[in-house]
Amino acid sequence: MPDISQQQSEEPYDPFFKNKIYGSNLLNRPQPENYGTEWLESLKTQATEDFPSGRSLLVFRIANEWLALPSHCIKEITQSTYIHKLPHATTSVLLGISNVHGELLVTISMQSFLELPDTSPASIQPQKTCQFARNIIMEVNKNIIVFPVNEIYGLTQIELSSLESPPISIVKSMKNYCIGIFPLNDLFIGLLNETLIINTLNEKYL
Amino acid sequence: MILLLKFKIGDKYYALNTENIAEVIPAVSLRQIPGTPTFFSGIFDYRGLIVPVIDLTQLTIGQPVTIRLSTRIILTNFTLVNGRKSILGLMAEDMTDIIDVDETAFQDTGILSQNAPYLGPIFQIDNQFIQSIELDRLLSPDIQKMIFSSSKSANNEPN
Repeated sequence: MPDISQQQSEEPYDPFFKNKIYGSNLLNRPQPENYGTEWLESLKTQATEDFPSGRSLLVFRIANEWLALPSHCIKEITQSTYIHKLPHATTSVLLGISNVHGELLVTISMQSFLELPDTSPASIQPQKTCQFARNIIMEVNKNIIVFPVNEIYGLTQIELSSLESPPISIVKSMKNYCIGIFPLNDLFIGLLNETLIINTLNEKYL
Repeated sequence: MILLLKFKIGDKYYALNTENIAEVIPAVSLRQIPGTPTFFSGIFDYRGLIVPVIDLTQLTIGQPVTIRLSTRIILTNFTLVNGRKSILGLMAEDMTDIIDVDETAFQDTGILSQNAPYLGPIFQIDNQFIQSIELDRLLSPDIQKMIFSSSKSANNEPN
Protein backbone atom coordinates (compact mmCIF):
# COMPACT_ATOMS: atom_id res chain seq x y z
CA MET A 1 0.00 0.00 0.00
CA PRO A 2 1.56 3.33 -0.96
CA ASP A 3 2.64 5.39 1.97
CA ILE A 4 0.35 8.30 1.41
CA SER A 5 1.54 10.23 4.41
CA GLN A 6 4.94 10.74 2.80
CA GLN A 7 3.47 12.43 -0.23
CA GLN A 8 5.03 15.84 -0.75
CA SER A 9 2.64 18.46 -2.01
CA GLU A 10 1.75 22.05 -1.40
CA GLU A 11 -1.27 21.12 0.65
CA PRO A 12 -1.24 17.98 2.80
CA TYR A 13 -3.17 15.10 1.34
CA ASP A 14 -5.62 13.58 3.77
CA PRO A 15 -6.86 10.16 2.70
CA PHE A 16 -10.17 10.94 4.29
CA PHE A 17 -10.89 13.41 1.60
CA LYS A 18 -10.34 12.39 -1.97
CA ASN A 19 -9.38 15.96 -2.83
CA LYS A 20 -6.74 18.09 -1.23
CA ILE A 21 -7.67 19.97 1.87
CA TYR A 22 -7.28 23.64 1.38
CA GLY A 23 -6.55 25.69 4.41
CA SER A 24 -5.57 22.80 6.62
CA ASN A 25 -2.13 24.38 6.87
CA LEU A 26 -3.84 26.97 9.00
CA LEU A 27 -4.08 24.47 11.79
CA ASN A 28 -0.66 22.98 11.28
CA ARG A 29 1.20 26.15 12.01
CA PRO A 30 2.82 26.66 15.40
CA GLN A 31 0.95 28.19 18.27
CA PRO A 32 1.00 31.98 18.48
CA GLU A 33 2.83 33.54 21.37
CA ASN A 34 1.14 33.28 24.79
CA TYR A 35 -1.49 30.95 23.31
CA GLY A 36 -0.74 28.26 25.88
CA THR A 37 -0.78 30.55 28.88
CA GLU A 38 -3.84 32.48 27.82
CA TRP A 39 -5.90 29.34 27.53
CA LEU A 40 -4.66 28.23 30.96
CA GLU A 41 -6.37 31.22 32.50
CA SER A 42 -9.74 30.58 30.93
CA LEU A 43 -9.65 26.88 31.83
CA LYS A 44 -9.09 27.66 35.50
CA THR A 45 -12.52 29.08 36.16
CA GLN A 46 -15.44 26.88 37.07
CA ALA A 47 -17.82 26.30 34.22
CA THR A 48 -21.03 27.66 35.59
CA GLU A 49 -24.18 26.14 34.29
CA ASP A 50 -26.02 28.87 32.52
CA PHE A 51 -29.57 27.99 33.31
CA PRO A 52 -31.49 31.16 32.78
CA SER A 53 -33.56 31.76 35.85
CA GLY A 54 -35.28 34.61 34.12
CA ARG A 55 -38.98 34.43 33.52
CA SER A 56 -40.54 35.46 30.30
CA LEU A 57 -43.36 37.94 30.83
CA LEU A 58 -45.96 39.61 28.66
CA VAL A 59 -46.22 43.30 29.47
CA PHE A 60 -49.46 45.17 28.80
CA ARG A 61 -51.38 48.22 29.90
CA ILE A 62 -54.84 48.48 31.38
CA ALA A 63 -56.01 52.05 32.01
CA ASN A 64 -52.90 53.68 33.42
CA GLU A 65 -51.36 50.60 35.00
CA TRP A 66 -48.63 48.63 33.31
CA LEU A 67 -48.91 44.99 34.22
CA ALA A 68 -47.29 41.72 33.38
CA LEU A 69 -48.25 38.09 33.31
CA PRO A 70 -45.99 35.05 32.84
CA SER A 71 -45.94 34.28 29.14
CA HIS A 72 -46.59 30.57 29.67
CA CYS A 73 -50.17 31.30 30.68
CA ILE A 74 -50.83 33.58 27.72
CA LYS A 75 -52.63 31.51 25.16
CA GLU A 76 -53.21 34.11 22.53
CA ILE A 77 -53.50 37.81 21.83
CA THR A 78 -56.29 38.74 19.46
CA GLN A 79 -58.02 41.75 18.04
CA SER A 80 -60.80 43.23 20.06
CA THR A 81 -63.92 41.25 19.47
CA TYR A 82 -67.57 41.86 19.98
CA ILE A 83 -68.56 40.81 23.44
CA HIS A 84 -71.96 39.20 23.74
CA LYS A 85 -73.51 40.35 26.96
CA LEU A 86 -75.01 37.72 29.19
CA PRO A 87 -78.53 38.23 30.47
CA HIS A 88 -78.88 39.11 34.14
CA ALA A 89 -75.17 39.63 34.53
CA THR A 90 -74.94 42.60 36.83
CA THR A 91 -71.35 42.53 37.87
CA SER A 92 -68.96 44.80 36.03
CA VAL A 93 -66.27 42.19 36.09
CA LEU A 94 -68.09 39.73 33.87
CA LEU A 95 -68.33 41.33 30.47
CA GLY A 96 -69.86 38.46 28.59
CA ILE A 97 -68.84 35.95 25.96
CA SER A 98 -66.47 36.41 23.06
CA ASN A 99 -66.19 34.34 19.94
CA VAL A 100 -62.54 33.45 19.47
CA HIS A 101 -61.86 31.22 16.48
CA GLY A 102 -65.25 29.66 16.92
CA GLU A 103 -64.84 29.04 20.60
CA LEU A 104 -67.05 30.91 23.04
CA LEU A 105 -64.90 32.18 25.86
CA VAL A 106 -65.77 34.00 29.03
CA THR A 107 -64.66 37.59 28.84
CA ILE A 108 -63.98 39.58 31.96
CA SER A 109 -62.89 43.08 32.67
CA MET A 110 -59.51 42.91 34.30
CA GLN A 111 -59.79 46.60 34.97
CA SER A 112 -62.89 46.06 37.09
CA PHE A 113 -61.49 42.99 38.71
CA LEU A 114 -58.33 44.76 39.77
CA GLU A 115 -60.34 47.90 40.54
CA LEU A 116 -58.09 50.05 38.48
CA PRO A 117 -59.36 53.60 38.18
CA ASP A 118 -60.31 54.93 34.78
CA THR A 119 -58.12 57.60 33.33
CA SER A 120 -58.52 59.74 30.29
CA PRO A 121 -56.52 58.44 27.35
CA ALA A 122 -54.79 61.78 26.94
CA SER A 123 -52.88 61.43 30.18
CA ILE A 124 -51.29 58.19 29.12
CA GLN A 125 -48.18 58.18 27.00
CA PRO A 126 -48.47 55.20 24.72
CA GLN A 127 -45.26 53.26 24.33
CA LYS A 128 -45.78 52.69 20.68
CA THR A 129 -46.80 55.22 18.07
CA CYS A 130 -50.37 53.91 17.77
CA GLN A 131 -52.67 52.57 20.41
CA PHE A 132 -53.97 49.14 19.83
CA ALA A 133 -56.56 47.67 22.11
CA ARG A 134 -56.29 43.94 22.21
CA ASN A 135 -57.76 40.91 23.91
CA ILE A 136 -55.52 38.68 25.96
CA ILE A 137 -56.57 35.06 26.19
CA MET A 138 -55.15 33.57 29.32
CA GLU A 139 -55.15 29.94 30.33
CA VAL A 140 -54.37 28.74 33.84
CA ASN A 141 -55.05 25.15 34.86
CA LYS A 142 -57.38 24.60 31.92
CA ASN A 143 -59.37 27.73 32.79
CA ILE A 144 -59.50 30.01 29.81
CA ILE A 145 -60.56 33.61 30.10
CA VAL A 146 -60.40 36.62 27.84
CA PHE A 147 -59.87 40.17 28.95
CA PRO A 148 -59.36 43.34 26.92
CA VAL A 149 -56.32 45.52 27.43
CA ASN A 150 -55.50 49.00 26.18
CA GLU A 151 -52.05 48.25 24.89
CA ILE A 152 -49.60 45.41 24.53
CA TYR A 153 -45.97 46.23 25.10
CA GLY A 154 -44.51 42.85 24.27
CA LEU A 155 -42.40 40.22 25.92
CA THR A 156 -39.64 40.80 28.38
CA GLN A 157 -37.47 38.72 30.65
CA ILE A 158 -36.66 39.38 34.24
CA GLU A 159 -34.90 37.61 37.05
CA LEU A 160 -37.41 36.83 39.75
CA SER A 161 -34.86 37.85 42.34
CA SER A 162 -34.90 41.39 41.00
CA LEU A 163 -38.59 41.88 41.76
CA GLU A 164 -39.27 44.64 44.23
CA SER A 165 -42.21 44.68 46.56
CA PRO A 166 -45.10 46.89 45.45
CA PRO A 167 -45.29 50.41 46.86
CA ILE A 168 -47.62 51.05 49.77
CA SER A 169 -49.62 53.57 47.79
CA ILE A 170 -51.12 51.16 45.32
CA VAL A 171 -54.73 50.12 45.16
CA LYS A 172 -55.74 47.51 47.73
CA SER A 173 -56.84 44.98 45.18
CA MET A 174 -53.56 45.29 43.36
CA LYS A 175 -51.78 44.51 46.61
CA ASN A 176 -53.37 41.09 46.56
CA TYR A 177 -52.71 40.20 43.01
CA CYS A 178 -49.41 41.91 42.36
CA ILE A 179 -46.38 39.76 43.16
CA GLY A 180 -43.88 42.53 42.67
CA ILE A 181 -42.70 45.47 40.62
CA PHE A 182 -39.88 45.65 38.12
CA PRO A 183 -38.63 48.50 35.98
CA LEU A 184 -38.82 48.48 32.22
CA ASN A 185 -37.50 51.47 30.29
CA ASP A 186 -39.15 54.34 32.17
CA LEU A 187 -42.03 52.31 33.52
CA PHE A 188 -42.71 50.23 36.55
CA ILE A 189 -44.53 47.04 35.72
CA GLY A 190 -46.61 45.13 38.20
CA LEU A 191 -46.31 41.38 37.88
CA LEU A 192 -49.64 39.70 38.46
CA ASN A 193 -50.30 36.40 40.19
CA GLU A 194 -52.19 34.50 37.51
CA THR A 195 -53.21 31.55 39.67
CA LEU A 196 -54.69 33.76 42.35
CA ILE A 197 -56.55 35.76 39.73
CA ILE A 198 -58.07 32.71 38.08
CA ASN A 199 -59.00 31.09 41.38
CA THR A 200 -60.69 34.24 42.64
CA LEU A 201 -62.51 34.70 39.36
CA ASN A 202 -63.77 31.14 39.51
CA GLU A 203 -65.00 31.48 43.05
CA LYS A 204 -66.61 34.88 42.89
CA TYR A 205 -67.77 35.46 39.39
CA LEU A 206 -67.92 32.36 37.28
CA MET B 1 -22.28 3.67 14.82
CA ILE B 2 -19.37 4.74 16.95
CA LEU B 3 -18.00 8.25 17.15
CA LEU B 4 -14.24 8.45 17.33
CA LEU B 5 -11.85 11.33 17.74
CA LYS B 6 -9.08 11.05 15.18
CA PHE B 7 -5.51 12.17 15.77
CA LYS B 8 -1.99 11.51 14.63
CA ILE B 9 0.94 9.91 16.37
CA GLY B 10 4.03 10.26 14.26
CA ASP B 11 2.85 9.61 10.74
CA LYS B 12 0.01 7.24 11.57
CA TYR B 13 -3.59 7.83 12.47
CA TYR B 14 -5.23 6.70 15.66
CA ALA B 15 -8.64 7.20 17.15
CA LEU B 16 -10.27 7.27 20.55
CA ASN B 17 -13.91 6.47 21.31
CA THR B 18 -15.69 9.66 22.25
CA GLU B 19 -17.75 8.01 24.97
CA ASN B 20 -15.24 8.83 27.69
CA ILE B 21 -14.14 12.17 26.32
CA ALA B 22 -15.21 15.08 28.51
CA GLU B 23 -13.64 17.90 26.53
CA VAL B 24 -10.96 18.69 23.96
CA ILE B 25 -8.87 21.72 24.79
CA PRO B 26 -5.90 23.52 23.24
CA ALA B 27 -2.40 22.37 24.12
CA VAL B 28 -1.90 24.66 27.06
CA SER B 29 1.38 25.25 28.83
CA LEU B 30 1.83 22.51 31.40
CA ARG B 31 3.69 22.46 34.65
CA GLN B 32 6.25 19.67 34.49
CA ILE B 33 6.84 17.50 37.51
CA PRO B 34 10.45 16.45 38.09
CA GLY B 35 11.25 12.77 38.46
CA THR B 36 8.39 11.59 36.26
CA PRO B 37 8.64 9.68 32.97
CA THR B 38 9.15 11.64 29.77
CA PHE B 39 5.67 10.83 28.49
CA PHE B 40 4.16 12.60 31.51
CA SER B 41 4.06 16.11 30.08
CA GLY B 42 2.87 17.74 33.25
CA ILE B 43 -0.21 19.08 34.97
CA PHE B 44 -2.53 22.04 34.73
CA ASP B 45 -5.47 23.56 36.55
CA TYR B 46 -8.77 22.57 34.98
CA ARG B 47 -11.59 24.34 36.75
CA GLY B 48 -10.01 23.78 40.12
CA LEU B 49 -8.89 20.20 39.48
CA ILE B 50 -5.28 19.23 38.88
CA VAL B 51 -5.23 17.22 35.67
CA PRO B 52 -2.22 15.15 34.54
CA VAL B 53 -1.43 15.15 30.83
CA ILE B 54 0.21 12.29 28.94
CA ASP B 55 2.14 12.86 25.71
CA LEU B 56 0.72 10.12 23.48
CA THR B 57 3.47 10.55 20.90
CA GLN B 58 6.16 10.08 23.52
CA LEU B 59 4.35 7.15 25.06
CA THR B 60 3.82 5.34 21.78
CA ILE B 61 6.86 6.02 19.62
CA GLY B 62 9.30 7.61 22.05
CA GLN B 63 9.39 11.00 20.42
CA PRO B 64 8.04 14.19 21.91
CA VAL B 65 4.87 15.65 20.49
CA THR B 66 5.13 18.64 18.17
CA ILE B 67 3.05 21.47 19.50
CA ARG B 68 1.03 23.02 16.71
CA LEU B 69 -2.35 24.68 16.71
CA SER B 70 -3.81 21.33 15.72
CA THR B 71 -2.17 19.64 18.69
CA ARG B 72 -4.73 19.37 21.42
CA ILE B 73 -5.37 17.74 24.76
CA ILE B 74 -8.21 15.27 25.19
CA LEU B 75 -9.70 15.36 28.66
CA THR B 76 -10.96 11.86 29.35
CA ASN B 77 -13.08 10.50 32.18
CA PHE B 78 -10.60 8.01 33.49
CA THR B 79 -11.35 5.24 35.97
CA LEU B 80 -8.25 4.13 37.84
CA VAL B 81 -7.64 0.53 38.85
CA ASN B 82 -8.62 1.39 42.42
CA GLY B 83 -12.02 2.46 41.14
CA ARG B 84 -11.47 6.15 41.62
CA LYS B 85 -12.66 8.37 38.81
CA SER B 86 -10.55 11.23 37.64
CA ILE B 87 -9.72 13.23 34.56
CA LEU B 88 -6.72 12.29 32.43
CA GLY B 89 -5.36 14.50 29.67
CA LEU B 90 -3.97 13.01 26.47
CA MET B 91 -1.98 15.22 24.14
CA ALA B 92 -1.72 14.30 20.48
CA GLU B 93 -1.22 15.94 17.11
CA ASP B 94 -3.61 16.75 14.31
CA MET B 95 -6.71 16.42 16.40
CA THR B 96 -9.25 18.05 14.18
CA ASP B 97 -11.74 15.42 13.14
CA ILE B 98 -14.41 13.20 14.51
CA ILE B 99 -15.29 10.17 12.47
CA ASP B 100 -18.33 7.96 12.40
CA VAL B 101 -17.62 4.28 12.10
CA ASP B 102 -19.79 1.21 12.03
CA GLU B 103 -18.98 -1.31 14.75
CA THR B 104 -18.55 -4.04 12.18
CA ALA B 105 -15.76 -2.16 10.43
CA PHE B 106 -13.36 -2.84 13.25
CA GLN B 107 -10.97 -5.69 12.67
CA ASP B 108 -9.00 -7.25 15.44
CA THR B 109 -5.34 -7.21 14.56
CA GLY B 110 -4.87 -10.41 16.49
CA ILE B 111 -1.71 -8.90 17.93
CA LEU B 112 -1.60 -7.71 21.51
CA SER B 113 1.62 -5.84 21.87
CA GLN B 114 2.91 -6.20 25.40
CA ASN B 115 4.60 -2.85 25.22
CA ALA B 116 1.48 -1.21 23.86
CA PRO B 117 -1.55 -3.06 25.22
CA TYR B 118 -3.70 -0.02 24.59
CA LEU B 119 -3.58 -0.42 20.80
CA GLY B 120 -6.92 -1.86 19.84
CA PRO B 121 -8.74 -2.91 16.71
CA ILE B 122 -7.99 -1.33 13.36
CA PHE B 123 -10.42 -0.08 10.80
CA GLN B 124 -10.09 1.33 7.34
CA ILE B 125 -11.39 4.51 5.81
CA ASP B 126 -10.48 5.37 2.24
CA ASN B 127 -7.56 2.97 2.19
CA GLN B 128 -6.07 4.41 5.32
CA PHE B 129 -5.73 2.39 8.48
CA ILE B 130 -6.72 3.89 11.79
CA GLN B 131 -5.98 2.11 15.01
CA SER B 132 -8.21 2.66 18.00
CA ILE B 133 -6.80 3.33 21.44
CA GLU B 134 -8.21 1.44 24.39
CA LEU B 135 -8.29 4.02 27.15
CA ASP B 136 -8.47 1.65 30.08
CA ARG B 137 -5.30 -0.10 28.95
CA LEU B 138 -3.34 3.06 28.40
CA LEU B 139 -1.61 3.23 31.74
CA SER B 140 -0.45 0.30 33.83
CA PRO B 141 -1.51 0.29 37.50
CA ASP B 142 1.98 1.34 38.58
CA ILE B 143 2.06 4.25 36.19
CA GLN B 144 -1.49 5.26 37.15
CA LYS B 145 -0.52 5.32 40.78
CA MET B 146 2.55 7.38 40.10
CA ILE B 147 0.91 9.87 37.80
CA PHE B 148 -2.21 10.45 39.83
CA SER B 149 -0.42 10.65 43.12
CA SER B 150 2.03 13.10 41.58
CA SER B 151 -0.92 15.25 40.63
CA LYS B 152 -2.38 14.90 44.09
CA SER B 153 0.80 15.86 45.88
CA ALA B 154 0.91 18.93 43.70
CA ASN B 155 -2.56 19.58 45.04
CA ASN B 156 -1.58 18.75 48.65
CA GLU B 157 -4.37 16.22 49.05
CA PRO B 158 -4.20 13.23 51.37
CA ASN B 159 -3.62 9.99 49.38
